[in-house]
Amino acid sequence: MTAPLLSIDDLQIRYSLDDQTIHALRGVTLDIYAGQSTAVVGESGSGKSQLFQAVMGLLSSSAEVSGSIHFANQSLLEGESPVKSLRGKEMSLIMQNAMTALNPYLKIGVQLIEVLQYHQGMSYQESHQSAINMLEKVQLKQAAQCLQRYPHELSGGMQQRVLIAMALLCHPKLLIADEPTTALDVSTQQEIVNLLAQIHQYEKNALVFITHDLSLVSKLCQRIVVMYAGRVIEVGDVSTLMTKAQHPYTQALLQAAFIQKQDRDKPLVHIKGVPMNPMEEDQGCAFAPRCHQVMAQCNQEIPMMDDSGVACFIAKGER
Amino acid sequence: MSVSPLLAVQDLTVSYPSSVGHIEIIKQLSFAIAQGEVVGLVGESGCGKSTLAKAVCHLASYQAGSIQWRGNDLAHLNPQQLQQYRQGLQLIFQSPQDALDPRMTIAQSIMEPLDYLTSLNLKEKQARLVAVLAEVGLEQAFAGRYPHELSGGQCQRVNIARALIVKPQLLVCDEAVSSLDVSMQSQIINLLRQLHYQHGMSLLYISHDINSVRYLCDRMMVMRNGQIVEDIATDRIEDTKHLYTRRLLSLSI
Repeated sequence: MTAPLLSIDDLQIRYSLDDQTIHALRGVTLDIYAGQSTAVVGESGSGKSQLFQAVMGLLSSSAEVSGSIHFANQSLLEGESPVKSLRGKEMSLIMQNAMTALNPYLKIGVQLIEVLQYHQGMSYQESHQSAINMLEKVQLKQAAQCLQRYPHELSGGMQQRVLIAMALLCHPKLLIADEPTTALDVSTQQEIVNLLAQIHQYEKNALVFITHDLSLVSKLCQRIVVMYAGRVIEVGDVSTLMTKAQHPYTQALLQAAFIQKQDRDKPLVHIKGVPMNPMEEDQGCAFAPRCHQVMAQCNQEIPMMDDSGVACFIAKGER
Repeated sequence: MSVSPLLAVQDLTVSYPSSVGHIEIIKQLSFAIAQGEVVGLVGESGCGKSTLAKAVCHLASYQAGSIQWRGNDLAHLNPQQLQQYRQGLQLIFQSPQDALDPRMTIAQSIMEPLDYLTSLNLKEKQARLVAVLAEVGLEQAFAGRYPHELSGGQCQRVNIARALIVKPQLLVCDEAVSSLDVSMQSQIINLLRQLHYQHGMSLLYISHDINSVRYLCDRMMVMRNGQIVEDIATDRIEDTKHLYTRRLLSLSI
């Protein structure tokens, strides 16, 4: 078996606040292989963005990080990190909010060309042409004119396409899309998801799609990683997970994501309670207080992820 | 005697000035909402949903047409009627955190409308605060906190509480759940539904998510390019002959 492109081992991220500690990640182990498309799903605050900001070396300097991240066999956390030369070239990130991710003072062209000149050492002429080609690839109409525009002259969907083009300029091996569709309306959402699926097919890169909306995932990804309270609680391929989710949290998340199947006479299914406070030390399963099948063991021990792909005592007991 | 609807919009036109002349955002649009009705308004970004919401809430000026509240034209309300209208129609905004003043506590934010729209004394105001917090499912301890200490879902509950405290007859929800997690979206939709059942409150629920509209509303209006292109009962939605509604339906799975 080939080595994974990205290998994360027991990654923990903490922030100190006065005399308290915020646990952003409580130990995540995850492998991403070349060419694979993975969805990372979870509620706000589950640590999904923190995880990939750590990979991209974008965490705030106050973060205390332990564990390891390897990208193509290079360690990103130990010693002199190569992350600066990898970022934007070998791995790139499509940000959540297109409007704020682009510099409002610079024309689209300047922002795209800068990437090529910095990473590939291209001349102005070459990079100008490459930028136009890439905008055409993401199906932006009038690509050449678009280079002369400022971000505020574009719609949200167009801005998101520019960001996708920017992330693809150097043909990275790993493309991370952090909730790229949350700020868009449904029809634009579908267009962006379709575009990402096409790009994934011809670029053959590893794609990570971070989202809280499971209904978008099935079109795009082969594998789903479910996160809760700073841990990975379930991993599986899309078809199995969508039909036979094992963790009670994943099951509830699936029900909440598909409103159209629900009976109008009954209240919508939602997950009762609130996610675990990141300042709490966990003694048992973080989902236990909200879980309707909770057992005594769940409050005493932390369920660990193993080859079965689920970190839950209930799911393991049933097998 | 015929009862006039709660809100009636007739031939409304709203335009904004721009470098290329006036752009018409709302074009001769008409609809009505009866007492106790739950109406959905769907459409893509830029079709004019939010402008329409602002116009009916008296937050945007309009160039032609009329908006009537309980049979009275908004343009000719006397100060007392204007006060009744402001109390009767409340708006919930799109991004929950931005809609709250970061320097005010939750209690101050929620109670502020009472200063303008009612003449209650402090004790009565506080009694309303306690009742309304319980109604939206927030613990009383939240009263002393600031918006940054709350999650997005909790902030949206505060926004709903602030609207409810003046006992409105119509709640205009402009993309009230779009920025929230799926599970939190369900919770807020459940809350809106419960408020409708308990108080007979009307809702104008604006969204780009056709699924939540189908679930929550009796009637759905489809908006495109500043006009309502279809007005249909949500249980008959599958029979729509309108191509645009079909397209929205096919996208929503």
